[in-house]
Amino acid sequence: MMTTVWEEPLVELYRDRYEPMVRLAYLLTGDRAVAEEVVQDAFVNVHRAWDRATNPPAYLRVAVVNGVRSWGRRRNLELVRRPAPPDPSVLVADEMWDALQTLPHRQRAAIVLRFYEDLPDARIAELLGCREATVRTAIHRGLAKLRKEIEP
Amino acid sequence: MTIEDDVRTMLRRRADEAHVSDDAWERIAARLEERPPRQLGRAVAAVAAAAAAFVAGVLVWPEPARQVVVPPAASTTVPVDLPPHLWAGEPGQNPAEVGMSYLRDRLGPGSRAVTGRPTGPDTEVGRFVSGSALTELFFRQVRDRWLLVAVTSDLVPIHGPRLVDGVVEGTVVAEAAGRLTLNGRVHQVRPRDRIEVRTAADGDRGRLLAVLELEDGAVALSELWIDERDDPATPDGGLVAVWPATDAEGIEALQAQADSGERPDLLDPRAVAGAFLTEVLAGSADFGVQDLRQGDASSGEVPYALADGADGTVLVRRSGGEGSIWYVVGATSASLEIAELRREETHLVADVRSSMSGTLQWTGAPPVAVRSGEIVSIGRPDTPVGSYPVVVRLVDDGSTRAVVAELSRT
Repeated sequence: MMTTVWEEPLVELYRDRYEPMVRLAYLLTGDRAVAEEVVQDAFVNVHRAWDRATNPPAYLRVAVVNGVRSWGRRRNLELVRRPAPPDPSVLVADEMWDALQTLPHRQRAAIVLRFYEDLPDARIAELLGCREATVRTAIHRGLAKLRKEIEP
Repeated sequence: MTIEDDVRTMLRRRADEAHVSDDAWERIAARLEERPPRQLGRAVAAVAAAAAAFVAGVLVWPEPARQVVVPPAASTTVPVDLPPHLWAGEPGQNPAEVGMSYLRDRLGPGSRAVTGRPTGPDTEVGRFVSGSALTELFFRQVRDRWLLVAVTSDLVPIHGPRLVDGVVEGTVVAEAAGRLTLNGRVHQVRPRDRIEVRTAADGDRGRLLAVLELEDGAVALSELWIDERDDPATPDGGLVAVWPATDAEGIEALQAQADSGERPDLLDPRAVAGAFLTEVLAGSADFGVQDLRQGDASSGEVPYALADGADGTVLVRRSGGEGSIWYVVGATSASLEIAELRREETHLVADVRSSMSGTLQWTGAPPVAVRSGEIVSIGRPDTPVGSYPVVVRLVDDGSTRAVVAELSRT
């Protein structure tokens, strides 16, 4: 007897937002495998909070950004104990990309959310849990570091 | 170009390097399974089934999944002759739509999903997962409509539902802390709290609705329809027949109808056996019944044969002599036997021995495949009523090959 499949909003969200969120997470982490892992965890969190989430796509993006932040903290702890080997994906020569990896989480996230997602300061501030002025400062300082890295 | 332009270009180029795995959804589904709803017993399997359904819908099914169109919360066109139910769908609606409409009415607006599968030719079980909680919805098809006849969650079971002298009574046990709304009254509950409920019935019928909102925001609910005349049984027993009623009061009511000339068919044991088979087989097999083989004055057997050659016997009884109605107390088959019937914590489980291969079907239970000579277990939630007839069919290639029925002995 065939199983009946009824449309599930989570599936629709997956179809629409999984790949864009993996792209965002990749830009935030610089690691393909981690990016997928973070987004998959975010989908699980969205599923668990579905009844409370008034805007599931927005909730998903928050979950991804928070997931990246948590991953960053764990990674920093691991790096303190044992330096991680370089990710093969970052071995390709790209000074700006390499420089992006070295930015603190808030600066990097602010730059990605502004220049990739095209979000306004207010929305970025909500996502990062800080004030709009902090967002502007983070972007300014992050860009300054990137400029410094790529200048001959 | 400015540094901002350079950054934009670099980010777009790098974003294209992101990798999406072919098995991405399966991995999400697996993670959902790692965090199962807090339904006891079959929770993990239920989530796995839902996850598998999602996978099928996303990755395998060639046709796009259907959109659920949530109908208006209330229907004004439900015929009055439908059997008791909690919620009736509009003609043509599938159980998912009926379930979604019901949940919207009971819980208010919100994004929810109901997944499910058929359990028989006219029955389906739906599953509503809310965060960590699982609720099962039992549907029955009557003519062109799907009716929601019971809703249960092991997180908020209703024990001992009964209707006495116009009052609906029962006990609700909260299996988790949270906010319990019981027929409109709110209670803050801790795990294992027991709440007694007494509420006025609507004539000879009543409902018990328990909604548990857990501290993590998940929602579980149970709702039962209790009918003074047709309630199949209570945990206290009183189960006397498999069909056309199941308790003494139901039999008495039918006797009254026979006495008034409304149901002369119930005075003919062969007709009673035939009507029982018609309902149980639901068009899945042609059959022929033979004459009654009377045992004593109030009991006997009606042999029957299915179109494919399998045969069996319907056991009938009547409570008095001439003029008493006949009712079915069981059905046997040479091919199918209930070896043991036992009550587990949340389920009634039948161990069934079969001499033919096929699929065992029991209303409210997931179908179970069986091979010739095997004994397999099939179980259904025991929450809606504490005791009820057990009718199991063996189905192969869409046709019923054997039927076994008996009263619950647990």
